[in-house]
Amino acid sequence: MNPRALPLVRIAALGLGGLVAGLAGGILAPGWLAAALAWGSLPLGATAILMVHRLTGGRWGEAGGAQWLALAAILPLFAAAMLPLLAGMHALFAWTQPAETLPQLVRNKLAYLNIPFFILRTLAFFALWLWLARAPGRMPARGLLLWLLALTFFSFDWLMSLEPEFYSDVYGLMLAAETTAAAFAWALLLGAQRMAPDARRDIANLWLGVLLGWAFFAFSQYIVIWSANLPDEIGWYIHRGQGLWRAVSVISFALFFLLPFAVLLSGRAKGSARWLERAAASCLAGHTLQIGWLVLPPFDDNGFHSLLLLALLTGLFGAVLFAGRRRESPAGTGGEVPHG
Amino acid sequence: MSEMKGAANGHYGLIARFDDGEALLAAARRVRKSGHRRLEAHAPFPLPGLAEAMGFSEGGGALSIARIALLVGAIAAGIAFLLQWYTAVIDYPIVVGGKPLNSWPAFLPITFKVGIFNSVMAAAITMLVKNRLPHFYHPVFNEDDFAAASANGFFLSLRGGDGEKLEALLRDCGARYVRELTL
Repeated sequence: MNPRALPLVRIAALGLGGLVAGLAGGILAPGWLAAALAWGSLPLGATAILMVHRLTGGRWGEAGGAQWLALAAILPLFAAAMLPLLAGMHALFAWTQPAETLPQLVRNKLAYLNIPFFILRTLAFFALWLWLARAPGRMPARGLLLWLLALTFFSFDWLMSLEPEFYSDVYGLMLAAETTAAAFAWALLLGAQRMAPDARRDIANLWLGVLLGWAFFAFSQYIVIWSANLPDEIGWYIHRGQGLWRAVSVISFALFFLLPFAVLLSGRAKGSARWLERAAASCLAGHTLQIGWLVLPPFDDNGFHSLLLLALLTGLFGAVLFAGRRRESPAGTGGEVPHG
Repeated sequence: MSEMKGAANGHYGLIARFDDGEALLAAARRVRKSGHRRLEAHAPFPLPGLAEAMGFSEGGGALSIARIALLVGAIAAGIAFLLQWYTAVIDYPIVVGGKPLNSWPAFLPITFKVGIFNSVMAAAITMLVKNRLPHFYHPVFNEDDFAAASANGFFLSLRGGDGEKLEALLRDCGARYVRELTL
């Protein structure tokens, strides 16, 4: 898909939806943000994978290239869904409240967390990503560095600053590994049947490596914060141990990492398209939950309504993305998978 | 020394040198097809398809290297976790930083490291044992050019068999030369 061939209708629909969600506030704005991030991770990860392949070469990149190029081409839709949320920043970000009502710790961060600078940064990140996604082979080495830097600060802005007391260095790397793992899973889910067995095994091995990287980043954040047990930081995990979020912590970890990891341990399962598809579907479902788990807890202590909304909106996004797409094969209609 | 022994009963087999991996692969396939099974291939880098062409199978049934590594790793990780749990909860319980005695997240790095270390050691040792290594003497080292097997030489060594028939077959496969290997 060429970005210019994307019907403007879809961009307009997502933009309007984002505007409504942002202005409505409540749990609708964070729900929209989570659904947009769950889908937006895929083109972001795909762009990075395409740049890596441009640097390293290898048959795996040719086998998955079509899937990742198609993903990179939906990056404008991610931008369309995200940018209108800038109109609803007051509903999302506690640090937009008057400075005198904020705790001292957050007040110290206002030189970075203020509305004009935030908008400027967001526009810069999307400008960079849109530019990279249009031709991922343009400058792969510098592109990858910029991609990671942009993703790190994007995650600080749009995810971490939802709870402005919290700070974690490794957050951006964790999100980078997550987006890449999700993009690998997507290519395997839709393309495993059609790939040559050798290339498919290479992709599965790379995917395993990225998943292990994610586990390392996520666990190092957890062990450092859990050990220090400082009030500003530990609250982040305490929020996520309440209500349904506790179950989501375990289930999303199991679906996103543990199940695919167990499948990929076996050489025989790694060679089977069927098993890779199952592992990829589990990983994408876990990815959606994981993004919800990162974004939603500060807005909803129990989590029931947020999770329902997340499932609904993720499905809606999938419908918008796949509207009008022809049925090529049974595997080509994966719009419903990530929240199943 | 080996030549003196060779005078008595010194014939080990033949060694043939090929110019590239493709030729080596084709020769290995043809020699096996001719019915001769006792052959070894030596190449400077892993050749895709060579193991299959040689009819290699790891053997050992359920005890493949991968399974042994997984099993040993899992058992070692389990022991490492239990040891930490036992020392922290039963043997010498001390409350540190207000944490519960069974602070399992803090046990995981050690569990992981011990598990990985043991599974790597198990894999390496099993590999050596299955390859019958270390092996201090082998007749291929009597071939003067054999050092090229780690630079640019592709060799096929054959043990025993009908020397003249095999030599003709190897030459027919495009060997640069075929030489006798002595013990």
